[in-house]
Amino acid sequence: MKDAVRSTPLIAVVGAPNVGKSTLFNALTGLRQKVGNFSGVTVEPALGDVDTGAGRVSLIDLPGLYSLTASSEDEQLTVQVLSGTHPTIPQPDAILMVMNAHDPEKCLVLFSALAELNIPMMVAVTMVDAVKARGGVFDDITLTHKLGVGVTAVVGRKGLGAQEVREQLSQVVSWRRPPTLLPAQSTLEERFAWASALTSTVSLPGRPDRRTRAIDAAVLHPLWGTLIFLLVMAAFFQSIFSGAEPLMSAIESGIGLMQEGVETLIPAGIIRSFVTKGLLGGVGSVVVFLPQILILNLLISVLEESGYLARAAFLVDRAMGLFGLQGRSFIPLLGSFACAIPGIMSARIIPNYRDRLVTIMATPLMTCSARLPVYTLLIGAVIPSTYLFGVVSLQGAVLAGLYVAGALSGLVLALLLKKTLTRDAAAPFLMEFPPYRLPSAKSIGFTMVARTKDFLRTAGTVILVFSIALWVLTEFPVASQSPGSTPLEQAHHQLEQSLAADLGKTLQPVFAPLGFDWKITLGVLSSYAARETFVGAMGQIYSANVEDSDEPLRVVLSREYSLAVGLSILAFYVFALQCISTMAIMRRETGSWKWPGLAFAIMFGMAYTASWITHSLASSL
Amino acid sequence: MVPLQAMPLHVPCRIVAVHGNPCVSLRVRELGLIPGTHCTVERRAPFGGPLEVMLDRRTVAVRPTPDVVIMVEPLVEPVVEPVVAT
Repeated sequence: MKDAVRSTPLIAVVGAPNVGKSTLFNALTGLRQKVGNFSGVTVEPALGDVDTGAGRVSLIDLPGLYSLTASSEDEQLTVQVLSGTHPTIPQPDAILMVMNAHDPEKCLVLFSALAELNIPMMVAVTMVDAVKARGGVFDDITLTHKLGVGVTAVVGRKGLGAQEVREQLSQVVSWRRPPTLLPAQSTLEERFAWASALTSTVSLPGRPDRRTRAIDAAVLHPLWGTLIFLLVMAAFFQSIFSGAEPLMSAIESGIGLMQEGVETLIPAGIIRSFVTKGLLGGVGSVVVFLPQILILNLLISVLEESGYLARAAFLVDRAMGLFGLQGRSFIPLLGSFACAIPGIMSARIIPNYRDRLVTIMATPLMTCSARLPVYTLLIGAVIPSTYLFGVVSLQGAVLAGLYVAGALSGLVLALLLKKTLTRDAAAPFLMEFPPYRLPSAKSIGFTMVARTKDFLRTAGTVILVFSIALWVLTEFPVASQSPGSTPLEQAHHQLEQSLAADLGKTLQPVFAPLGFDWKITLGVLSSYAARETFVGAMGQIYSANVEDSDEPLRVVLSREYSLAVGLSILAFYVFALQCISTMAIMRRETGSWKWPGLAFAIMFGMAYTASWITHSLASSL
Repeated sequence: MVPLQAMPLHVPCRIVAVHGNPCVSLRVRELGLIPGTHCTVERRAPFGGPLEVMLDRRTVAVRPTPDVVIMVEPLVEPVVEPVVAT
């Protein structure tokens, strides 16, 4: 990687938060973005190539920061890379600093610090058009003279002006190193004084942004703002939850058709089984996440680029603060009620690594849609369909209780982790309200494509490998089938004699205190591919057809299981982290297997304890 | 001199000092809330949530925490003494 990057000039894209850095990066690199694949980083900086017309340059998009005295892990990454002390990412040859014409002061403070690194620089100024439209002035020529490096105005959102930046990139060898502007080791106050004086020399702010003021008056209103927030979040959740549903079923039936097609081509046997169940099944279990990931990234980008996300975080910050979280944690947690995979990916909107980590650790406890088939099956099987006080359905009340138990336990876990793991890092809730603007469809498109590629390459491969491993466990050793048996009987026969069944029988004593027999243990184990697999696995174990409806299986289970056992399994599913895909994406987003490993251990402990207590209480009744 | 969260809404004030945990107070100052800066508290989030603070050219949100205290003094309109004819 190091050598591959070094063959072309490497230019770091650096800027304060909310200056339009990512939009400019998207406009410059387009679809030529790739995953960094540097080891040991908590935030993977995006890389992209730009064809300047006079050769190729590589851009690296580093996390935003205000000064070089980094207080968060994300900012430390930027500082380490720029100063050449990062263990795996090479020091860039030049810095492209992105600056905002609307608010040059904080950008100039950052510039004064970057200038001391003695790396060739160029400054790209965004939102010059917005300032001019309000009657303001931005004098980039004077700024060029004052800063001693090239300054180019750019309209990042529409990609206009990106052409000028591209031309500048082609002449990267002639970029200048900034002169000494301030004495080294200047204090922040001295830097602000210098930046403030320079700001009034080169710019006039123009009229206040009335549109932003007017929108804020509604959006941040205690009553209307809260209502708007609830509506936006409901629409957000509904889009991920049901918007992705038809696409996901289409993918599933597409994979099903391919499996049937392969079955006609390859004679029955282990190769056919590998191709259909192992390979196609594995690919299917990766691809099925794509609709949710695409929709979620689209919505998140729109919320973030429009400027609403900061306002939403402001409104909900107090409530999340009760659990040691910050306002932005709300979105990943909400998204996780659909699926923890996109939920965890959306945690990238939290700019601070520790807050992000605590949020990610809580997401698997939100009741995802994969738990729903398991809940429905078991509640239907063991809970009587009676009504409490004649109005409240007992089955419905149990289902609601499971959702509440999951969400509350997740929030409490976040609070505990915040108090223990990240005790010393006091990260206050501080952020800017960027002006509202229309998001750029092009920029959002590029982000969606880049995130999807990222998912397929990093988490997708892990999920595929685990799916194939599970196939091996369930299909070996190959059971001899008696002639004339139905496919369902054959599947039952195969599963009963597989390695997975051996594993279930071996591990059963561990689960015995919870009331699980080896069949339930096997069902629970098979859920590690995806929770809803439990339904299919139970169907195979009890030779009950679940193709058309769960009805036959529900009848079998209600005969087989006592109320205590049923409740015990439900309690286990509320807490257990039974999802390889979630663990793969957690590893991707936290930078190591340590965190998914810890989450697995904690949640197994919670699930086991809850299940044991439930079983003991329910049995003694 | 009062803490920022005690300021009434829309009343201009000047930041006098930022006390507290060095790491946190650095972050506050990086956002531009440095002593000498003029600002107004524009809004409070419901139930004692963060404050929306307007600076010269931008708006920031700050959650009052025990880790950092931003002390401000209200900007009083200078009182012009009436010229008394002698």
